Amino acid sequence: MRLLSLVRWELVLTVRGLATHLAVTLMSLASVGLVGVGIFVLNLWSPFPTGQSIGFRPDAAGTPQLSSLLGAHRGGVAFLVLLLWLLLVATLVGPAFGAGAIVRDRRSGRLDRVLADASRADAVAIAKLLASLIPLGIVLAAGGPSTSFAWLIGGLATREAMAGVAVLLVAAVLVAAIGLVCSAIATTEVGALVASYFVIGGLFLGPLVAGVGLALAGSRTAAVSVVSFDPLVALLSVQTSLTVGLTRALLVDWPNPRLFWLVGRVRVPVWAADVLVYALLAAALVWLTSVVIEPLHPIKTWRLRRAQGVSR
Amino acid sequence: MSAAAGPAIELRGVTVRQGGRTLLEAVDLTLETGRTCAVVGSNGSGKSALLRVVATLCRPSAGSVRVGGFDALARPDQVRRLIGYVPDEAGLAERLTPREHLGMVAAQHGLGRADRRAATESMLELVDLVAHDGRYVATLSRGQRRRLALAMALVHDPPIILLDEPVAGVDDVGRGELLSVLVELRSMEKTLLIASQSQADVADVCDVVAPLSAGHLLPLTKQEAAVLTWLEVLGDPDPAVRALRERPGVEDVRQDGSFVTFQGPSSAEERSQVAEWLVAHAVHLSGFGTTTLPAGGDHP
Repeated sequence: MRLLSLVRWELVLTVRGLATHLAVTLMSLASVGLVGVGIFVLNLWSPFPTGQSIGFRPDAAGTPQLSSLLGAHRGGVAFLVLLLWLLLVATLVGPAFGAGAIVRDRRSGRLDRVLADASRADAVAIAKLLASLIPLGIVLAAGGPSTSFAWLIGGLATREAMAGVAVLLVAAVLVAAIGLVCSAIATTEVGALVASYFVIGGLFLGPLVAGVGLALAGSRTAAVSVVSFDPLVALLSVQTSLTVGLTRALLVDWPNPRLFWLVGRVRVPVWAADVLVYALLAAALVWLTSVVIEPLHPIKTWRLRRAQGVSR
Repeated sequence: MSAAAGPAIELRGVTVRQGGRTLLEAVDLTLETGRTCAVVGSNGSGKSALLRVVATLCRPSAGSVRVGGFDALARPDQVRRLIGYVPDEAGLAERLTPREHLGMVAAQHGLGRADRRAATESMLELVDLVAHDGRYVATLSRGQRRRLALAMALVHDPPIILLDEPVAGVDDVGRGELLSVLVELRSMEKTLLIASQSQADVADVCDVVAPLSAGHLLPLTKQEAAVLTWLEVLGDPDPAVRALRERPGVEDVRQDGSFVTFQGPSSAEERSQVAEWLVAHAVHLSGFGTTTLPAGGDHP
């Protein structure tokens, strides 16, 4: 009830600001433009390969040519490109909604006020996260229809599309949570924004760089596992045959990408494991935010209470 | 909204260090329920830090804090239910209205829909913001914002109220309105802890003054209301003024038209003796009485 109340007022404030409306408008225009470019390209060059059926999947044992692979998976590739576009938007816009939230409130005294009004710090952190996620969700929703372009040229399996959307949404939650925790730690809005982009850059590029490093060092199995945690790889891995085909076509010496984790006897798809990891990471960051903003969090007062012999 | 037994606020050896600076040093302060204490000091003396410690918004480096009988370090959530805090920075959202602010705070304190509405209405009336309840905070004056901040601190009817510079930067009219609300709160037996740079600003409402200097709390002084005796003189008041200035025990004699005021005599009997003495000196009185000066206040 109190959480809902906090979320409600945060949303009222968000809606009364200009940023959301501006972001949604720009997103809609950009998405329309992107699809327009796609249709224009279709008029110049057709991705439909001659002599192959639309449902063609390359032989996993062979090494497919890149052009025929892309032609065979044209719907999936278009969907992937559009999801990557939405993910890029989420990574750019998400921190902008979340990074200023706590810095601004702390500077204006509103954070003190909200905490003093018997609000729990974890409720405040969750409310702030939701308040930044909802406009971000609206922005993504404004760009969402552009993904229908993928079905214009063949589409992809519904299960793969749903998995891709799940990865995108959870990655967006993680991005917003990173913005939130940076906002709690930083002292200025610019500092929070820069720190957010730095951390998000690490999240997106870190596993790739680490994977390449491990591969160069000879630990190819570890490299494949590390790379599988990258959000970009997670998005790609929802289309298993495309993932295998692209790996073979582009990275000749690279081992087969990891597509599943074995948990006991259960095979968990990489994208599903990544969704779980991102969700847990986001939850941990929200908790960390609550620790940072709560002046008397039990972790912070533990030593003092112990000295006084007071238990919570 | 019940507090555990004991003083309303009790600080023992509270030290606050932040960024290499000592904001408070071994502060001891006890404030009984229903009393009003003004923490007075210059900028940087540690007044706001002291209030923030009591409000559970600042972690002390050492010492213990009990508010309403609850240990603030162990039960900050309980303490927050007992206090109403008016920070120096009002902490208002520019794009919310006073009514929305009050509704939000009431909801945070767990008031139901009907109670929320009733509390909001009564608070808007108390701080005289009914006429402005639908305007964004961005359009309110500083005095109106301070009154709204006060209303937000009171909406859940807390027994302990903490006010950081409640009248700073407010014009005389706004100051009078705010002080009248504080006087009303005092009459309701609320415990008030007020931080102020100027003792005169809050002299009307405080029982105890706690001077704070560079984080050190100096000995408390009790504020006792001064009694001002006034009399109205028929004819020339100068002989009465001269006579009073010569009489031992009479202080601060002032004249305003036919009215003469003075301080000094502490009992009704002594004041009657002064009046009889004036009559004996051929001063014709048409009126005589007393009024109570605000504690620490000056002549009107």
